[in-house]
Amino acid sequence: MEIDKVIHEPARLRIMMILQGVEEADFNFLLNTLGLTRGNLSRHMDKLESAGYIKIKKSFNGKLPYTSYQIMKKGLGALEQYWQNLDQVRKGSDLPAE
Amino acid sequence: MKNKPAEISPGQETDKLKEIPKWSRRYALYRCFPAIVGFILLGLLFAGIAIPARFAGKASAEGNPVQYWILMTVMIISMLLLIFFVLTPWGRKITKRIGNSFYAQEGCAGITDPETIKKRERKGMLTGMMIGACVGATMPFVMSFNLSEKYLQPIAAGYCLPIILIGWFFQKDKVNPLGVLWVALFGLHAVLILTGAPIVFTGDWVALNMLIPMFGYGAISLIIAHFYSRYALKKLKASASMQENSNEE
Repeated sequence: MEIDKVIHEPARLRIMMILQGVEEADFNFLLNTLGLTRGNLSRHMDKLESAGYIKIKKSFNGKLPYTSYQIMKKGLGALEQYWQNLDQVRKGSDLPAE
Repeated sequence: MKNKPAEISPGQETDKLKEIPKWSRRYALYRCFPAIVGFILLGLLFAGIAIPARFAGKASAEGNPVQYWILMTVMIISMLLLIFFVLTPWGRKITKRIGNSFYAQEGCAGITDPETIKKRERKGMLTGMMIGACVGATMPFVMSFNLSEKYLQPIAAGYCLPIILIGWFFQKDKVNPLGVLWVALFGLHAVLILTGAPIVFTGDWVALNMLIPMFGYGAISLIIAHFYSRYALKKLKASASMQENSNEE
């Protein structure tokens, strides 16, 4: 059993979990909620997009560029699988549940 | 909130992480500041039509043309503004921009994508127009059956509530659940009037029998929803915040 390294990174796991709860979230929302720097967040988002887990939508809000993100079906599946695998690893290594 | 690995067990950390989708969804579902702005604006404009209409009739009967024309002017301006803000895209854009300015710093998260929001706006407008037409038809209905004005609100509740509840039922996972609180309060108000509770405005203030339940309870529900969204955001940040302790590998 292998843990998905793309999702296992703490920031990316949190991004995926936030996006799982909503239909769409923009760059500013993720930035403020996670407390990451702009550069770091951008790199994490690019990595998630490369894995096919999220969709990046670029548009304009008036004259300002606007970037929003949506989790893809592949991303939802990978996230579900990640938690299943992690729970099994935890059970196997006999870590306390709480 | 900073993570304290020494004090938080892996299980607790996992539980916190698993709560993130719940709080992000609740935050997105309950955030409603643009709706509060729109609702207050609509309430003021409806009051700007209903209250002057009442007093203009009185001024006309008393033979006071100055007061009559001032009130008629206020009423006509309110009507024009209502048409501008409800029916024109520019008006809706202004309301939305004022409301969204509150969220400019924290960004945006939604439970519906922009295409669906546009479709929903059309449905919402259609429902609003249906309810508006029904409310408009209530007055001649009450007058033709010679019913007391105190029955205006219970009659309106009779048709507004089923329309809203049916609309809510089909979109319940996509709309603010506190809309149901408004429906409940509006229905409760109707029941209290029918049972003779002393909550009926009479005389010149009869318009408040509709304005208070419609906009007052709506505002209460939206304000509660707004504060809940702030609470959900606080919980979300507590579960998800990294405080920049993550670096790209």
